[in-house]
Amino acid sequence: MSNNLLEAVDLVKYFPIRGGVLSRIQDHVRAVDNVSMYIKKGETVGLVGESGCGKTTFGRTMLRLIEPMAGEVNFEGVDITSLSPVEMRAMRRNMQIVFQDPVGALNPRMTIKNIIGEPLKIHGLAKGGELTERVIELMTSVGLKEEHLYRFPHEFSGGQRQRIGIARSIALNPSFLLLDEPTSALDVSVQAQILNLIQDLQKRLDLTYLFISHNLAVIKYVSDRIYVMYLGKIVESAESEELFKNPHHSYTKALLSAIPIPDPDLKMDDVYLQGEVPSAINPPKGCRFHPRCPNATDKCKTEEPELVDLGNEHYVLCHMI
Amino acid sequence: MSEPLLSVKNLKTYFYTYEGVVKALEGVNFKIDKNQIIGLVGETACGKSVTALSIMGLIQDPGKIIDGEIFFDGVNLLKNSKDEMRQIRGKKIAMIFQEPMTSINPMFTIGNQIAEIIMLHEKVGKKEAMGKALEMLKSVKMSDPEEVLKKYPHEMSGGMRQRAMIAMALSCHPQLLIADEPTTFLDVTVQAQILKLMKELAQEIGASVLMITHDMGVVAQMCDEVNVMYAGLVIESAKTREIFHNPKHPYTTGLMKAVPKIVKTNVKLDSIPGTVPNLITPPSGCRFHPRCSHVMDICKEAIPKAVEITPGHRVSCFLYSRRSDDV
Repeated sequence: MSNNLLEAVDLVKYFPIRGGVLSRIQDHVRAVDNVSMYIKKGETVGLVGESGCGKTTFGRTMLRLIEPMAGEVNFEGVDITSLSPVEMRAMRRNMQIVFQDPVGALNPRMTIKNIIGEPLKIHGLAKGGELTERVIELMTSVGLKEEHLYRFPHEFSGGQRQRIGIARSIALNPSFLLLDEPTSALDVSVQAQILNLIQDLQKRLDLTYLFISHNLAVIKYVSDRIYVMYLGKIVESAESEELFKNPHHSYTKALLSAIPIPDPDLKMDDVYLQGEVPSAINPPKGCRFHPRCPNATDKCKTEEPELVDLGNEHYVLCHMI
Repeated sequence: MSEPLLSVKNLKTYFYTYEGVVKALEGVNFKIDKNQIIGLVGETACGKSVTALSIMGLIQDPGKIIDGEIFFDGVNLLKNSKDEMRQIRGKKIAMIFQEPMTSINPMFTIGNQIAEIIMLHEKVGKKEAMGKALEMLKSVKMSDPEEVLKKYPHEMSGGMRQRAMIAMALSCHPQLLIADEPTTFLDVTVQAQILKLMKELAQEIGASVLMITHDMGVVAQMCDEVNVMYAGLVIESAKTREIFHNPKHPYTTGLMKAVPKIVKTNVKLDSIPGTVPNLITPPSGCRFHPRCSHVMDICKEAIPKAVEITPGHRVSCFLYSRRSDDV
């Protein structure tokens, strides 16, 4: 167990929905429902799922940017959900995040130097000339130039802004990075640059990644292991190659068959999934996937499935296995 | 070969902004034959959508079409009056937009909006138009179409709205359907449904489709022919299979290598260095030359002309043409 850098055990996060005259809690959005995950040191774990499945909420709960309602998160053996705010703040040096939208994540009124240098200032790690030096070093490591130091975010293209976001996130020498859809807003030619940068940094700085994306091709390119999420639950997880070669859950299969393959000779399989993701407010009873599952039985409609261990780190949440 | 349904020749659309003239389209050429699905691919801001809007006659101030011809069914659309364009738009050429929420009126029910188009173009009453609207909703496989007729856009999911958009676009049986990134905002499982539906319906009513997308996967699965755009120009066009197996232009080759693949195992992605140029002061000569790995002196000076290297495969690149051809 000791080689797990980060471990989530039965994490739960519901968001209350208030309504009525007294704005009482009427219902809950079950964004993350008993999700467990482990991330080994040096590994890149991919988390994939459609919009609204709870990927981002789960990622942020792992960093305690969102307080979980139940469950624990162990970082190097320490349960961070029990840390005091002061202890948590110190802990954050080790775990950082890169956001999806590079426009929204950078303060438009701050220069690049201040954006990248802010974490160093907050944690009292550098100041004055030393700070500038460290910022320049960080900028060159992500492929930005020294002359960009006093520019503002709006002067940069999307790809460059994402580089700024990455430079900021590695400023404190973290051991863990949460990459929340870091390339979704970018064009393919730029996406490739950023993906390669992310992989180079991992090797150079000995980083561990949780990479969240809805794009299976991207997830496959970066990840060692992949978790598939559907409506607040992990439905399948396996090593990257294994998951693509040998998917067991019907949702994973449907997801794989639905990707348009960029090769005109390989036509898409005809396992189209009907309908759309149901609301997480009142998720279907039993297995949450049963209304869309082609193989659903009566048992799926009433009983929640248990995680089945197929060996070799392959887990599936399904009655049919 | 019969006449193509649509042929765009040397189309130039500029936008006159405070910062300067944005040369969004700098002589775009391509054609669409009947019953074909033609792809228009390229990265953000390469002029895909401006091309679509130019065809539709929807370029607004400060934009202006300054040169070129757009022949549709033998008529030059750019010579048409506003009234004539209004007759064509929605009836003969219809368009599906990227974001269904912003292109559907939130104040009217889906039924009303589809019926409005039918009443405008075919001389029928409200009742008959509503009946046709219902039929259209059925044909896009909307579940519970009678209910949807009375629904407002905000009551529907993204996939349902896009289905409603398709129903609206096809309600007058257009000859040409322009689909501008129709599935970009949808999840993959929904995208697969919508793409399949579009392909089937286009075949059924005998419409050609201009599929605008940045997703090479969508192109490979949907299109018969592909036009690759870069910085306001079509730089390569060929049959889909030819583009994927035998890309010629360095930009197309780069684009192919930059797409992460599901099928192949981890090969390092080749990225194209740099970013798409600013179109107010585009690079001289070939607009791709600052990012091109095969750049030659001539590329910085002159704009390469399109050459047909094999039947149907046209490339605009000096690697395949000589300067003497165009000077």
